[in-house]
Amino acid sequence: MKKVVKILIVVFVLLVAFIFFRFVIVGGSQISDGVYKIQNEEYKGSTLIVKDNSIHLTDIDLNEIFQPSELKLYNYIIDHGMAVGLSDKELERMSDLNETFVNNEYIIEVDPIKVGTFTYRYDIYDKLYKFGFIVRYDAFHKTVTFQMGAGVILEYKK
Amino acid sequence: MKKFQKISVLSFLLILSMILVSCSNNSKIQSASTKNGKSISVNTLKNEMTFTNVDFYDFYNYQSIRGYSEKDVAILSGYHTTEIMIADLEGDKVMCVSTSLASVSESVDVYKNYLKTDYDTYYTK
Repeated sequence: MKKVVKILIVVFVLLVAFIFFRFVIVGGSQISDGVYKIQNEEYKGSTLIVKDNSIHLTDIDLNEIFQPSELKLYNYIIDHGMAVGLSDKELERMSDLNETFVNNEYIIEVDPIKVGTFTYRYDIYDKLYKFGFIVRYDAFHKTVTFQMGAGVILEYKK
Repeated sequence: MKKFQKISVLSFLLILSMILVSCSNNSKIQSASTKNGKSISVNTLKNEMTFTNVDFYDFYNYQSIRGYSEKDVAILSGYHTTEIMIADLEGDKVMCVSTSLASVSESVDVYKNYLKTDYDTYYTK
């Protein structure tokens, strides 16, 4: 009987340790709340603020970095008949990444895709015109990266 | 004592399997390859592609790409088009194929020139 109790205790301790490590230390798929600092030297000073599944980038000109490549992709999509063109006003609104991610908080509404043991991807771009970002979250290293076509990956670390 | 060891080992295996299940990745992979070792695989759950030594014409940047090898490249387009848009670490690319990824059955041609006259055929396993 004593042995069974011992085994149960060992199992219970291991289980608690695993759950603590997986869900408290590493965390789940939702990007952990807090302030993340940029790792790219050329954009030093920029931060990513995460709160309740909303993201807010500061001190960075996303339009300067990403808008030309996003507009190039938009033009390709329109020229190849993959989607109908937007009105000038609508195009200006949708392609303004600063307005979406820097001047305002962006609430992540898409489900995360599990791409690695502790890594998740959020496709927060318009599915038709591709304005937005592929966001990768590494829950273990607490890093968030933003990528979309420009050959630049912004990396923020907590 | 032997019984104790057996139960301990079983418990350890049980926990290990729980951990592995918890840490496992989503994968629903469809892959195709040529006879000379080039391969393309599509993970429809992750919405990503993996390329090994693939030659193709990049219709977005108007250039031929040879020996393209890249893991976990995000697919921007859907699976019902023959123009596959991908976003890797260097930027966007468009690869044209003979049949959409959604309808590939036995083989798919990957075009290597702008006129789509030169191509490699990839066979599904």
